[in-house]
Amino acid sequence: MSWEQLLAFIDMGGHAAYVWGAYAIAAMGLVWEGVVLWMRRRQAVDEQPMSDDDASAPSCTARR
Amino acid sequence: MSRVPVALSTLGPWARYAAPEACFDLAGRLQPHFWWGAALLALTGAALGLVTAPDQFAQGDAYRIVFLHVPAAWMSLVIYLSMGLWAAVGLALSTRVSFMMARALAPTGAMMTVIALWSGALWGKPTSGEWWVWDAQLSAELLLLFLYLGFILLQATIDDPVRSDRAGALLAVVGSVQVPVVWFALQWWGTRQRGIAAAVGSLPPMAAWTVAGLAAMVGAFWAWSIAASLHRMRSIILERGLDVRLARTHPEGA
Repeated sequence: MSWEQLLAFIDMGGHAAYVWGAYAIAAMGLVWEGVVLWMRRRQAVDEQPMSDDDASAPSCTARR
Repeated sequence: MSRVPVALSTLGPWARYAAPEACFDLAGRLQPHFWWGAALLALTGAALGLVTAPDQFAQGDAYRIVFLHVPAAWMSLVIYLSMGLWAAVGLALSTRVSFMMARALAPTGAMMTVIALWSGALWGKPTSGEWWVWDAQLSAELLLLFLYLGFILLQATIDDPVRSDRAGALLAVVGSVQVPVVWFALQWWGTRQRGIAAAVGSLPPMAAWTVAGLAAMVGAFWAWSIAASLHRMRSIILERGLDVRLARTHPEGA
């Protein structure tokens, strides 16, 4: 791919702001969701009371 | 014996996954495959959609937003329908896992709706000249976002998990009516997208690479949604187990 072809690709036919903007928003949203998921899991595991069982396994005592 | 085990017995071998511990294990086994599938399909779809697929006659390169917009819009509908289904199963069979699954799907569905709305605005501006128009389909999609947010807020504001689950489930089931409204708005009322669809429809069939890229991105969004929901459901199961232990240790709920 030549330099001109790369510039043309980035320019997206004059619609770069729209095309890359859409992909950037989607990427940010998905990364944000991934981080929130990871933090929630980490907090849930950290707050599990220690027992003889695997700390990451559910307590199986919930009845709701 | 209560009616619940009898009702669950109709599910056959699947009934064992109505138990949170079995579901927790199954979700843990499935989850990595969907994460990897989402990553690989997204890379493939982005490469095909942004690089390989030819530009489009009527819209130039702006149409490449379709590889993002269509999968996100489809998933926003599919996820709400799934929520409604899980909620209905939960209400009918009183299975906790069904309520948890409906709860786990909502944030991902809301995210998909936001992506669909934003990418739609960014696609609409260069193709129709407007960021937003209050037509039937866009308004219905915005209402779908409010339904997702309403579901999440409703469940967050009710402390009792049983009441929270059932209230949210009712909203999910009733709100499912909105899904066909969004889907058929194009045919029923005509929308800004009618012009886009007509322009696309008047052209020769989509290039094979375009179809392949779209299919890969749809697969990626499906895989992401399943993986994220399974991941969130495992966290919900952990949180509820924790709540019960705390409640037993600290009756005041401190």
